Amino acid sequence: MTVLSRDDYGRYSRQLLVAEMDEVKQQALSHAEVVIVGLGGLGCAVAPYLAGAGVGRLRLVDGDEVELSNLPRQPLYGEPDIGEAKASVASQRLRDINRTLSVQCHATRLVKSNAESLLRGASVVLDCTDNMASRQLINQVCYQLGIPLISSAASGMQGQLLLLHPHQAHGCYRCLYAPAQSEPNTCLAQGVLGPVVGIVGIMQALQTLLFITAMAPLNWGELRLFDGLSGQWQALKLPPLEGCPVCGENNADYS
Amino acid sequence: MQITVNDKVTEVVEGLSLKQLIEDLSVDENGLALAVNQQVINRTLWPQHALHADDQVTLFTVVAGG
Ligand SMILES: [Zn+2]
Repeated sequence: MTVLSRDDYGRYSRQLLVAEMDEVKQQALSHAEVVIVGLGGLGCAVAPYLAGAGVGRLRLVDGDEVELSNLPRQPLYGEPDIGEAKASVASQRLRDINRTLSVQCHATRLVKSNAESLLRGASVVLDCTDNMASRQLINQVCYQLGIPLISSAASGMQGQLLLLHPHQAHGCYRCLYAPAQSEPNTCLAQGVLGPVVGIVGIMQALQTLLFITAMAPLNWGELRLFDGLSGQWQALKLPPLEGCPVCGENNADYS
Repeated sequence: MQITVNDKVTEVVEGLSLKQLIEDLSVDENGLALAVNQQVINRTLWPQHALHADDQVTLFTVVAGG
């Protein structure tokens, strides 16, 4: 059965040669819709790999403009883009990488009033934001809508990746961190090294491709810590917090 | 009894709670999170969570940047 066009065979030939990949999985990528919230260092790492791999629909959400201080770790942007909306510059770059995709550009900040409409219908949501409030909001809306969430974060030499599935019994982002917990580690406060944020974003891209194609089952409910100094990853399990206001109803059968 | 805190062997009293451990280590609780034996323990449970010999405690902090 032939499901791919001749162009697609050419474009995706290298990944189709991977033993675990096939045409049906390539089709699954083209039918997927991924929302990327935040187009800073994490979003810039994850987005081009998803576009390149052929994720058919990408929704990009970011209200910021490109600044000079972004350039060391946000390779979708260049000096001529300074002052432009990140979402529109990123959309253009991704279309340059793969013109067969549908790239939706939302040059707006995700907030309570627009979160549901921005996330609804996604196959998976990628949290690439840079603050606690957005992360809690995205977690809450993903659980409300039942959308899997792959959340990444980086600052200093530390990275974190969290795999959340609302239909499974593990804990959620709210079970991990309380909204009132301050963020001693935001890029503004502590800085970040480009490759550290890049590694975490690229790991997020890999997990996204594994999930959409079902090449491998994801370890939902796992928190991975990355230490840029040692280059080591560490995996932790996130159990549900009893009475969690976000996932409380989903986690009754956790064991 | 002995436990490890971020891979460092540490001598603590029998039945020490996570809350007491954090206080004894005098680390900043602001933005702190932890796991025992690779299982995250929510901060609201720290006072009632008693440590056992050979427990592996992993301290980490909130990372929210992007
Ligand atoms: Zn929860």
